[in-house]
Amino acid sequence: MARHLITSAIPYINGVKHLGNLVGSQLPADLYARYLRGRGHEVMFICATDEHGTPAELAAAKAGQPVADYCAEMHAVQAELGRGFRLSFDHFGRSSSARNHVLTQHFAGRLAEAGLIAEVQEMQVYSVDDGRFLPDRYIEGTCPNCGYDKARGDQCENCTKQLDPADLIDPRSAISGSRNLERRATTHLYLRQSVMRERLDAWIGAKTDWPVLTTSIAKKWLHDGDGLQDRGITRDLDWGVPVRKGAEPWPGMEGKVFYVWFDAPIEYIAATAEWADAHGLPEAAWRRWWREDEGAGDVRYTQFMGKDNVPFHTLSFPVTIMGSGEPWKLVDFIKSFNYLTYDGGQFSTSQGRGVFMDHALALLPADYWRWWLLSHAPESSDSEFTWENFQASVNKDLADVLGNLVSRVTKFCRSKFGETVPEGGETGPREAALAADLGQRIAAYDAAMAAIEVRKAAADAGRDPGSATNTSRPPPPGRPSRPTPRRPRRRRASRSTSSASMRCCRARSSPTRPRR
Amino acid sequence: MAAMRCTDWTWPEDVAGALRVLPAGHAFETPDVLFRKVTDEERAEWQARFAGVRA
Repeated sequence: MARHLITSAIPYINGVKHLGNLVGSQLPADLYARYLRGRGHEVMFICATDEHGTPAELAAAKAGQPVADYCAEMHAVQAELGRGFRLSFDHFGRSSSARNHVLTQHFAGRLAEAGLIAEVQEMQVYSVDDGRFLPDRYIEGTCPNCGYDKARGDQCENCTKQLDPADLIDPRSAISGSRNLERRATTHLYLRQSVMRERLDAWIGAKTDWPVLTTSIAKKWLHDGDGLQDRGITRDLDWGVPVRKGAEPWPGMEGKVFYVWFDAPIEYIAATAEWADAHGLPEAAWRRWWREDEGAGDVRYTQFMGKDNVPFHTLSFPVTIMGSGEPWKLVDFIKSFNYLTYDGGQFSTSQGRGVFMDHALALLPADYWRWWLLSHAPESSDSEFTWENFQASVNKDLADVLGNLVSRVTKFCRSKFGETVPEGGETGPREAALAADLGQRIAAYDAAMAAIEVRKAAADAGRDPGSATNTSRPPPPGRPSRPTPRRPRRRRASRSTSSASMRCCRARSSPTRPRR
Repeated sequence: MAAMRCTDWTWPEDVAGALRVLPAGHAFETPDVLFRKVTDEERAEWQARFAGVRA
């Protein structure tokens, strides 16, 4: 038995997530956690909501709520939907927790002591009427390149040109529309990632068993252009983790908060501490998962995420961990995913295009979605959700193949023996062949799951049981008794059905071949 | 599923043994439909409902 720490990228707080978000991290992470628990390993499976940043503030303002209340409400909504999809988190935490405040400030202090934080004064756009600094993408104006009048300060979404807010013609606040903008000096902390570049490069270079999607993104950021750049880790906002150097104030940084991308991955650790708190356990209970000097030496840590999150998990967060100079657990394997597209286009939260988690559960039970999403996971390339494909897959794989098998086997047993498993005869070559076949299939499934090859595992698990559904052949040998963690309820069905069908099979052979 | 009234869901390290998990005399039920089919009408309706602006 081994110990496995599993984290899913934490979903942002501002609204219900769509199926593309779900299959990009939480769902495959759940598959893996269920599989490992099924194999008898000790698992700690962590997720949370990512609650800081400007989008949360704006969503709360739009909802007419204080941001803390808004986040508490939306956390409850996401937690409930997670339960609806049977995501088996040991804890679903909150990045706004007191635990995360303390840990984020702790890491910042350690990084500062190690000389890995720089204080940089820069000019930023300040909206006088909004009373706040505006992030680049909250400044709107006319694109100097194509003339589009709603270009954002970071990029024109019409011609895709990368922009600086200073490039915009007629700039205005995207929040209020105010043109009363000025440039003001402000000081921010930068994480000096560039000085860790060689160490990161060696670390990533040694990860030859990681998905190419993961390592190629990391290497691109390490080597493209001038190489890995330092990264701002603070913002002029109210909502977030206040900037402190450990427990001490940080002179000059009063009123500022850490950037959401600095505190979000630290929440993996904080959420494990929240788990201990929620169960009344001592500090040692969560630290044995995270501190190599306090019991985490034998932990294998696997992260799941969509490809847009890879740079933060392969570079920024490792800099935080390595740079702290403390023996915190570093990730052992990063499983990343491409995007799921929707019916010829993109899922869109803002336009409400596509199926969101709440809608999905209102249409059909979770298992239908889990099966389709995992068997079509966007691993080696993007994959597309179409209603035609979904309908065909559900009707064939689930209704025709699996559902029909269970129905035939149990109805057969009922008609022949009543609703109890009959005495069987001795097992013969047919049963031995079935056991051998099942053994091979389980081994193939095991290998796919060990490598976290989600689609391959789904294909192994869902393979047509073939002769089992063909009643013209004598005994229904039953569906392979292979646990399929993505479908926990049916897993039991398939196991016990196959067992029952095996008993039936034996029983049915006994009249014609007694004592075999 | 509950219909089989089985409680042993451990990993089938020993396949032949796992196939004997339900002893003779073990009761089971015949479940209703495990998975229903998605109809063409549903597919068309959902396709239209989720094409654009969220309800």
